[in-house]
Amino acid sequence: MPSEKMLTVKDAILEALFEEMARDDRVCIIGEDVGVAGGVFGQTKGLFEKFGEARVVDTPISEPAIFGMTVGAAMAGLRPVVEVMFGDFITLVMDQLVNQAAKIHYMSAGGYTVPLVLRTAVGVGGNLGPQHSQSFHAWVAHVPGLKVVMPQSPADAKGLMKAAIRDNNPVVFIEDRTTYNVKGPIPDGDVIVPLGKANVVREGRDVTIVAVSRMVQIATKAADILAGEGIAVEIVDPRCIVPLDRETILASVRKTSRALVLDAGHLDYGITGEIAAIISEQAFDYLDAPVARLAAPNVLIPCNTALEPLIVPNEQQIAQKIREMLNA
Amino acid sequence: MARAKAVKSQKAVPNKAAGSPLALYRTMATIRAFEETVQRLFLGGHIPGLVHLYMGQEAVAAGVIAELAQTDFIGSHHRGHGHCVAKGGDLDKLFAELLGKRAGYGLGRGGSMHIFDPANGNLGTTGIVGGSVPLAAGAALTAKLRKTGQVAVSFFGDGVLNQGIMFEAMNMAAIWQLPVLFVCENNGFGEFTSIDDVTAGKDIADRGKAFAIPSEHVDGMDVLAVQKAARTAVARARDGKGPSFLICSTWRFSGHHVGDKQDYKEDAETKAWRKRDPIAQLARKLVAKKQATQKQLDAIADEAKSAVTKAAEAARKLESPTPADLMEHLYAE
Amino acid sequence: MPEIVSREARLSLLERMLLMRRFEEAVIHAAAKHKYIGRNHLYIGHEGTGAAVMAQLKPGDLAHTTHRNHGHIVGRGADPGRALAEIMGREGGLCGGRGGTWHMTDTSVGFQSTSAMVGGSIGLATGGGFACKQLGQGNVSVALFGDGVLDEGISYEAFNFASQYSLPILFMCENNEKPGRRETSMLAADRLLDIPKALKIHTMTVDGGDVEAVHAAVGEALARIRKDQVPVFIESQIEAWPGSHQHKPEFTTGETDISMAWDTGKITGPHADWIRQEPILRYVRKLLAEKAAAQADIEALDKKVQAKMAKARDFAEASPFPQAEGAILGAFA
Ligand SMILES: Cc1ncc(C[n+]2csc(CCOP(=O)(O)OP(=O)(O)O)c2C)c(N)n1
Ligand SMILES: [Mg+2]
Repeated sequence: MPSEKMLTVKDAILEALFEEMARDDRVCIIGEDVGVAGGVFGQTKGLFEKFGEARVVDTPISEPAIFGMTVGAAMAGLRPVVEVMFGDFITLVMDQLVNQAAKIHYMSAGGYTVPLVLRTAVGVGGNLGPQHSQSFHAWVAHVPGLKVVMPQSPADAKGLMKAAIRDNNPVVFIEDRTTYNVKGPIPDGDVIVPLGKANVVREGRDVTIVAVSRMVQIATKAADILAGEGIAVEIVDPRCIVPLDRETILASVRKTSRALVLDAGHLDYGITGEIAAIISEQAFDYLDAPVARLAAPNVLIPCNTALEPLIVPNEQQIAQKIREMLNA
Repeated sequence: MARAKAVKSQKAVPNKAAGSPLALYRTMATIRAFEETVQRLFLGGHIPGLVHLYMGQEAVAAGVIAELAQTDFIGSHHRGHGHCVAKGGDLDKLFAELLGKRAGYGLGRGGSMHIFDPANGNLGTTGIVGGSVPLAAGAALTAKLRKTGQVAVSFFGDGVLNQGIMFEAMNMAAIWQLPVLFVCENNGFGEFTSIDDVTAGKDIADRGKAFAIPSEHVDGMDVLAVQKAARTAVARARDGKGPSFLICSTWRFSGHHVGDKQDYKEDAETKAWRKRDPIAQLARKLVAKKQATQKQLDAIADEAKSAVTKAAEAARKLESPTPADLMEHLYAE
Repeated sequence: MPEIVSREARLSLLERMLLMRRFEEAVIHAAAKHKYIGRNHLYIGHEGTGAAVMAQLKPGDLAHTTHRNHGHIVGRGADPGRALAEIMGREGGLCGGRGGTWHMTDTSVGFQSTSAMVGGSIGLATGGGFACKQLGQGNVSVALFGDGVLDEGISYEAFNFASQYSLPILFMCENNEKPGRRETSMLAADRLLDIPKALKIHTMTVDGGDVEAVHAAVGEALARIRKDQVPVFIESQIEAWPGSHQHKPEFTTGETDISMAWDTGKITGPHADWIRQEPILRYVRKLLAEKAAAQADIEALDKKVQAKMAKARDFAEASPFPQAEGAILGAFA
């Protein structure tokens, strides 16, 4: 609708935080530089001024304990949104995330819930190098008990953040820094995007691309290129990799008979392998070509203008791959 | 949140329930009977996995938890049965859990190192050394932010003293003046390594003092001393005056886990500690001060034993979880 | 205690500081010229510390540093042209242009690593100390880190280990937290030193703006570390450069004008206070006052350093970007 307001991904998430904190006083923000400083990317700007230091908590640089405390706080009745500044630093909270947060609901047979959102910024771009560019979504997706959300559009980012905050489980909310300034329309009102519901971003008959987060945007560029060649690409954005909306993916592949799975994370043992396996197992009879994959090569992410662009698959590579799939 | 000022909690939670010497005696006797039974069941092959017994350390759980209300929180560790019992855990459900029965706290899927009892504020036993320290601090953070008046106690072993997360949690508890007690149960050993071999500094208390946390050594074999120290610390926490660090020296009578031959310890040392058995020690004191007769105490111990035996026997007859239980509770609704 | 007696030694110390400063100025120029260069944590204002440490390390000593690393690396003797090329992502860089500012190393001068992870250097340097001790060649390991690292649990783990195992490590903490800001600080300790002290590590504190004071402290520490094979912790108190925490570096305080040391009327503007106390001008004033050098000597020294940096800049600018084919090589040895 033309009357809808436009926001960037970053501001859309921020708006979700404002609204959820106003709605529910158990929601609080915890992390390094999230308060007075308003976040290193400006992603929590204004929350401190509005909600005060009791609910927007600046912490020491102690990721393991910050996250562990968030888990304890959630068990005791808060609904915290805890920030891990860069996705790479998730390595520091892995123990509390995997061995505590993910286990408590199950091991207590439902006695405790751990309603928290771990938000973190990932993404290759800006030459931040091998400790500030990694995408560990496959690591967390591998752990039963965690939900993993990867938004790409402003509207999704807002609606998914609201859903994540209202979810009663530990939710890892992975934001790609490179999408932060992407602008898009935001529907009015309290609109929730349910976790685990894929979105068909673009319809097409010839080939299905399955992609999350930033890869959806790159895939769209590839689809535009291919449209000029008469190739109609369908793009499915699962939006959450856990829970994964298999049905929407499979329905699309059954329609187009070809699937290309994309990821900005590493190829080896990553999510493209998982999604490709699901398609092969459950839609094999519909396929006219092997499921194809494009993802980051298995190498460190250099801090270098010339080398960094080689990491994330670009629209040309995607378009070329699809041409090959159709000619095979 | 900047460095916190003292804010008195709004609703102080009164508690006088479990604090009498006889009640302490009952708690300790129950824990002892519980652990003896667990040991027997384990050796009989009825308990799957690994169990770490609390025998010898009863005074710590009993003394500290006596000062807590049901709504207060505790975070336990791998040697955690004593805390679960002292915090009011249901004996039937505890045995069911240990024996892998569906009626247990976690449908019998967790066992000894994964017992959670939300109704009694028990944030859980854990298999990760240091795992529950931040959980307790986090529960204290909730209590403070929501002004509930609750306090939280983090029980941990001496092995946790060298885990960075303990320092991180202590630091945050200190800057935000969280209502939390850090209770170190110093039994002298990690698994099989003496604390003296791996822990730097001349005094463990310095680790808390560096963060300006009131830190003191307590005789962990003397339940009355533990209770007294805990009373001060809990009052301080409830008054909004922040964390405390109690280091309770104690001894594990049955080694690291059931079956541990304990050849890394000196026999003489163990003998000396056994002379200070917290239960016998309290009994001697009560009788000497004429606060109880031996007959009374024996009756309490017998009652504890039979309650425990009854629960254990009943648990053995319970159902195991079904295959359908495997996927239960993976995610909350 | 080693004093800096000779005039040569004093001038060499100043030269090292000037090189560090002029290097950072070249980085600011490069960042202005090339859009892609950003996020540099500059060493301006810290030179008194880095120069004093680097001047006293021996060839086999190891050093691990943190995000604020440029001064350490060129101060230790790495080629400034190759260091600048690294920051600019060029093939001629110390790491082939792949690491950039946050991952510079130069093992040829004993510079083991830079880690952009807060707390990254301290664990590695502790391991370096372990190796130095095992190899028995009398070398020491140096961990260079900021005050923020004491928030991280790994620093406690490292201190404990270093202390308990008597490792030859210099823990060099560059504390640029504003004095008086401790109220809102994230560390509960009243003084940073209380923490290593609690773990029985010998500690010293020194004014980081006074290079000779740092030099004396580091000299004493290194002698002790080498002789007794023990860790020492030094806190160097530094007045943070007003340009710190800028992602895209800028000349907040202007390019350094060495003549401000004798022509103090030139010091004006919002940052005059910082400029008055900054370590380089301060040292020049001292050398002049003590007649260790004349204005002309100082100017000549600065010219020499500037000429060296001009060459370095030319080298870096001329160095090509790495070839794409090389990108995916080198993940494994
Ligand atoms: C593990 C980790 N957490 C957070 C960050 C983000 N970060 C980079 S520098 C910095 C501040 C470090 O402060 P300090 O150690 O005092 O160094 P200074 O910048 O003051 O020299 C933070 C939080 C990081 N790089 N690594
Ligand atoms: Mg600092």
